[in-house]
Amino acid sequence: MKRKSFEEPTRLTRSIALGLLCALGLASRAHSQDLDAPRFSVRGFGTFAATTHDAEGLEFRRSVDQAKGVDEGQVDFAVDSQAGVQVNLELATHFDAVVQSVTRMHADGNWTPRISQGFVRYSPDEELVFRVGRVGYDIYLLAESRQVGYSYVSLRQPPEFYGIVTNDQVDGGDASITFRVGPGLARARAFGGTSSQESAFIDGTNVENSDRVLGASFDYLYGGWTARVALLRFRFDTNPGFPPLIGALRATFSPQAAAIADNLDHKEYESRAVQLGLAYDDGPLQAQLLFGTSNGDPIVAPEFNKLYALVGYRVRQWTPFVSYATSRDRHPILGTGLPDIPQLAPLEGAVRQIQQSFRSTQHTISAGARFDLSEHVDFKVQIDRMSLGETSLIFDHRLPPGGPASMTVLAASIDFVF
Amino acid sequence: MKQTLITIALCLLALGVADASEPATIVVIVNPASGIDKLSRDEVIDIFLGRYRKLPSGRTALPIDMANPNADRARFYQLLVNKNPTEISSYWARLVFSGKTSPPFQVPDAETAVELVQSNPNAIAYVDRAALNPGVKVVLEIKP
Repeated sequence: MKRKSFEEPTRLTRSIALGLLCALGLASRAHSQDLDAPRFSVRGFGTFAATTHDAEGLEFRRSVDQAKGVDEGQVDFAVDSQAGVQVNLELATHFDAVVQSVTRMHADGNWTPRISQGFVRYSPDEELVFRVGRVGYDIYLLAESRQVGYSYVSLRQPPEFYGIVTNDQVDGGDASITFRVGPGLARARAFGGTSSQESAFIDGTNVENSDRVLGASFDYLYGGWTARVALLRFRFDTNPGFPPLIGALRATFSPQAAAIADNLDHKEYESRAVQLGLAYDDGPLQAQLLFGTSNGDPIVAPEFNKLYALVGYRVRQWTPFVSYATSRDRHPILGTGLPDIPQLAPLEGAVRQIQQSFRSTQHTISAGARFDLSEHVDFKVQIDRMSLGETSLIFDHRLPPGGPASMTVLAASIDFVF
Repeated sequence: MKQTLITIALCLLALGVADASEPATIVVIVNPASGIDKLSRDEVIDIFLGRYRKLPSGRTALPIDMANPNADRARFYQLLVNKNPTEISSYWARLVFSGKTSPPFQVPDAETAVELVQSNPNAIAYVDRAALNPGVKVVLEIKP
C-alpha cells in the first residue's frame, strides 16, 4: 500500500483545466441565443448535514475513506456534508469538457478539494459517446456520483452498498452506445482505467491503494423503468508488507498458515463484482432495487452479497421514503490455525487485520423524508436503525470482544444546487 | 325544487364551459425543414430528458426549454412525465453532475423558442398552442 498526495494535480487534470481556460475565451464571445455557439456553465452543489447516533463505544462513518466518524450522542457536521463545483464547456457540437471538484472529508482527515471528474467528451452522434479523462463509472443505478445530495431522495447512499468500494471514478475513459430496442432504449457501456481507493483505520492511519478497473454495463430504459446489469473487475498490486508476513507464515510449517501464505503470495490480486439493478421513476413514485455480489482472491479481496431497496412517494413538496440495505460477507475470517501463544499472536493478528479491513456484515432499515424548499434547495431528515456484525465501516472502541451491536443514526441535511 | 335543479344544471354547465376555456394543449414544434412529421410521446421524453436526442430523420435534436419560472414549462413536464419543476431540477442535477449529458438550451419565453425553431432545422421546442405561428410544424400534441 502506498501513500500519495492528492493535492498535486495530475498532468491529465492540468491539461484539462488549461484546455478549458483556453476555450473559455471562445465561449465568452458566444451569443446567448445562438444554439450552435459554444456554451459555458459553472454549477455547484452541496450538502450541509448534522448527524448523531446512540451506540456507546462506536463511531459511525458512511464509508471507509472517512478519517473520523460520529461518536455516541455527539452532533457531527462532517460525516454527511460535502460540496462541489463543476465547469461545463461545450466547444462544438460534438465536443465538450467537464471538470468537477469536490470537497469532503478524506481518509487523511483533510477537506482539500479534489478533482472528482475531468474529461473531454466526444459524441459524433447521439448513439456513440466517448470520454477520456477522469470519469465516473457505473456503480450507481441512476447517476455517477454519490456526492450530489440534492439529486437523491435519501440523505445518504447506503453504506452497506457503497461504503467499502469508495472509488467511483477511473483515470482512463469509457465508450457507450445507445440505440432503440423495441419501445425503449438500450445502452451498453465499457470503461477502464486506474482508480484509487482510500481507507482510514481506527488507529488514525490511512492508506491509498491503486486499482486497475475494467467494466461494462448494460441498461434498458423504458418509460419510468431502468434495468441494469453491470460487471466489474478490479486488479490491485501486492502490499509491500506482505512478503515478510508470507515468509513468517511459511516458517511456522503449519498447513493452514502455509495456505494463507500461498493466497497472499501474488504480485497482483483480483476482485470481481456483478450488479443487478431495477429502478422505477415515474410521476410521484420512485423505487430502486439493487443487488450486488463480489468475489476475488481469498484473504485480500472482499466476498460479499449486497442488497438495497428504496421506495419514495412525493406528496406535494414532501417525499417520504423507506429503505433497506444489507451487506453480508460470504465467508468467516480465516485464521492461521497457529497455537495460541504470545510469540505467534502477531501473525494471527496480521492475517485477521487484512481481512477485517474490508469486512461488511451489517444491515440498515431507514425512514425519512425530503422536503423541497425550492427548485434548488431541499431539506431532509432520516433515521437509520443499523444492525452491525463484523464491519470495517464502524470504528469499534469497545473493549474486546465487541461483538454485534445496534445503532440508531439520526441525521438532517440541507442540499442545494446552483 | 325544479328551479333548484335548473340552477344546479346551469352551474354545472358553467363549470363545463370554464373547463373548456382552460389553456390550450401544449404542442411540440420543429422546423418545417427538419424532415420529421411526428414524434411519439416516448421520443419527446427521451429528447427532453437527455436520454437520446437522435431524431427519426437522423439529425441530432437541439431541445429548447423555457427558463424558470414559467407556466408552460411546468405544464409541459407535468403532462409529459408527471413531474413538477422541482423533480425535473433534481433529475437534471443527477445527470449534469454525472457528466452524462447537458440540459436543454433555455430561453426566457415561448416567442424566443418559436424564433429559434424557425431558424434552426434541428431545434425542437414546446409551446402553448396559442403561441404557434405558421413558420413551425407541430409534431406532437400533449393533452391533459
